[in-house]
Amino acid sequence: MEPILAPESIDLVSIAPVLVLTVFAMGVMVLDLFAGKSKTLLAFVSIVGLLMTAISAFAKVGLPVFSFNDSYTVDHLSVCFILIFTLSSALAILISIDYNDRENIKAGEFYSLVLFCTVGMIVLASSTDLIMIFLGIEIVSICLYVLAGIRRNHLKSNEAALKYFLLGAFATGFLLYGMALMYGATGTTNLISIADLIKSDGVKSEPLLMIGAVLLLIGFGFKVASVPFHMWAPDVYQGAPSPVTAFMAVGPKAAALVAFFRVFAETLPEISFFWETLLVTISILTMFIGNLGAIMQTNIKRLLAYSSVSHVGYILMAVLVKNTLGSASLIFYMVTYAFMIFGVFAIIIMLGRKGDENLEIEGYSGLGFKHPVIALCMTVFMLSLGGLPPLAGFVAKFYIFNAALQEGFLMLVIIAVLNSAISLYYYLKVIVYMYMKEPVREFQLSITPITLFVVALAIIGTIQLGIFPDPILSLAQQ
Amino acid sequence: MFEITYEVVVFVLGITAVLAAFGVILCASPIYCALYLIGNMICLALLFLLFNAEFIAAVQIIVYAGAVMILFLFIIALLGGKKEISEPSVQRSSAFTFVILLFCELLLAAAVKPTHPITGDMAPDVVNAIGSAKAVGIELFSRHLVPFELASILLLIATIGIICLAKFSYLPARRRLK
Repeated sequence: MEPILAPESIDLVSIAPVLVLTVFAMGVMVLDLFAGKSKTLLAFVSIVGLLMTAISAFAKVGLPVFSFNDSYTVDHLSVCFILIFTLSSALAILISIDYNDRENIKAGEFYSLVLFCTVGMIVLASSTDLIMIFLGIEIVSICLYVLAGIRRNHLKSNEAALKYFLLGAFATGFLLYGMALMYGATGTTNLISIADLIKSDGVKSEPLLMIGAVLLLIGFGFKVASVPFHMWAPDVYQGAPSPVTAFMAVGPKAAALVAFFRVFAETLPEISFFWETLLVTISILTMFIGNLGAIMQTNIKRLLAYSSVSHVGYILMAVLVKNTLGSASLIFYMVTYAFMIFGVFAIIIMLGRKGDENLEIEGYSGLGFKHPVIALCMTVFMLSLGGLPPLAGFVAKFYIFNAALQEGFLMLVIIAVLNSAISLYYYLKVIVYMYMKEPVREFQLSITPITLFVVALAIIGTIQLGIFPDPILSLAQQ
Repeated sequence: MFEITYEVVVFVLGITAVLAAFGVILCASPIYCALYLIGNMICLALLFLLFNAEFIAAVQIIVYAGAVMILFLFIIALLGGKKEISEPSVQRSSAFTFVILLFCELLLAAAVKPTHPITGDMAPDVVNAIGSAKAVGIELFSRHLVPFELASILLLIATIGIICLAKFSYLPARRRLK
């Protein structure tokens, strides 16, 4: 009987965030048994867990640290993204407390699944191994399939879950096929070894590597909802419960994007001549179809779904930049995007009531006269999403465009600026409805302190990051 | 004179597996599809056997061709395996083009130069000495420890998720609309 050799580089401290959050996620499940009917306690326990995770992200000093045979990395990018994930998950849990009460979602599993999903995102952001990336994506996706369909007796929710599941499983096939081909071409699943091998011309069968890269591009394209793989986004965003929609639009998307960045910008820059054109095309298509699709929408959640597709188009430019400037602008964009999206969705949740979510944009008519403060907040978020100075959305776009300009993507930047202008049309449409139309219905707002707190936090974030972006920017650029 | 070499056997088995996979998507009756899927899995198991991965081959047969396929057949029997009526449509033909594209890709993959040799602690003589089951175990619990634990989280989530969805009282869509 020979002993099993432990991996040479076992380093449990480096995976501290994953461990802490997994323990909390399972703890929430157990606590669910004793929590009784109200699940609010679980929400607060989850938030404590997320807070501890955020703290444990700083457990390692002297970055970057590689552990578990270089398959797990703690570097600046992963630490920043762990903070973004914990922030977005905490905000999602906060806005879901009242929503779940109202919509009768009495499941402690909801919070547990959000935490597990965050575990998957952390794995995605920190791993430098194709196997780990695959497992991370699957953990995130399975949680989201369930969360999207958690309103069992809601037809749209059922539709969302089923569509998301079928298309997600299909996309996983591409991802796995691409990874297998890449493994065949290089003989390793480790991203660092793959990068070294390509640099030293050690790859014998380049076509295999390239087909693998294309399939990975398709797989990631599905997960981040870039055109032409965006078909699921509007239906899923519309059908999923509003807090889950907000959660999906920020955390998991950011996680898939950072994995995208790690695979393409950090591992395959040597063969960028080949995937760069593809990615530029995808980015341009994503911006145009996202923005043009959003113009036609009458449902606010579908509008935001298309708008988030177009935002992916801008963010993909950060992957194209391929250097630390790209990763820094990616981090900054996702922070600001988190604040804007959660602010908007907190307001959407406030405007709904039991059995009637009030999601048509027409239902927002006259909000500006009846509830001026809330309408003003909505206006700020919409203008920020559209990228108007001095709000955070402008600074985020400015840094991505600037980074792309420095790498010589002049045409792409011009198209992106043009698209920002197009996008203002539908963001302003919401504002026009709020301030310039007569109310078509009674407003019965369900304002609660927690939701108000989220809106206030999002407003502060949006304005603060717009006027004084330096602290976060310098943190992102280290 | 045609000689049966190792390569020929591998190639024939691979082609059979692909044909069986085509059978799965082309057959109209779900039962036939399931049977083709079993054929495909057995071919894969034989391929693993040819690559000296006896343990994986056995697992493939027991878990996939055995347990998973039995579940498939049960569900088909429960839902009633009616033949689906195929209507020619744009989507269907585009799906076909897509499948053929992937198939061409597979052929291309076969035509490329030799792939990169995979290095590691498990040289053929080591595997022969300790057996492939033990080799898989040692690899799983040492080098791939974190992915192994992550896979356990994945399975846990799948369990939680399905229980979470199944435990709520559910009204069928038809009755809800009334």
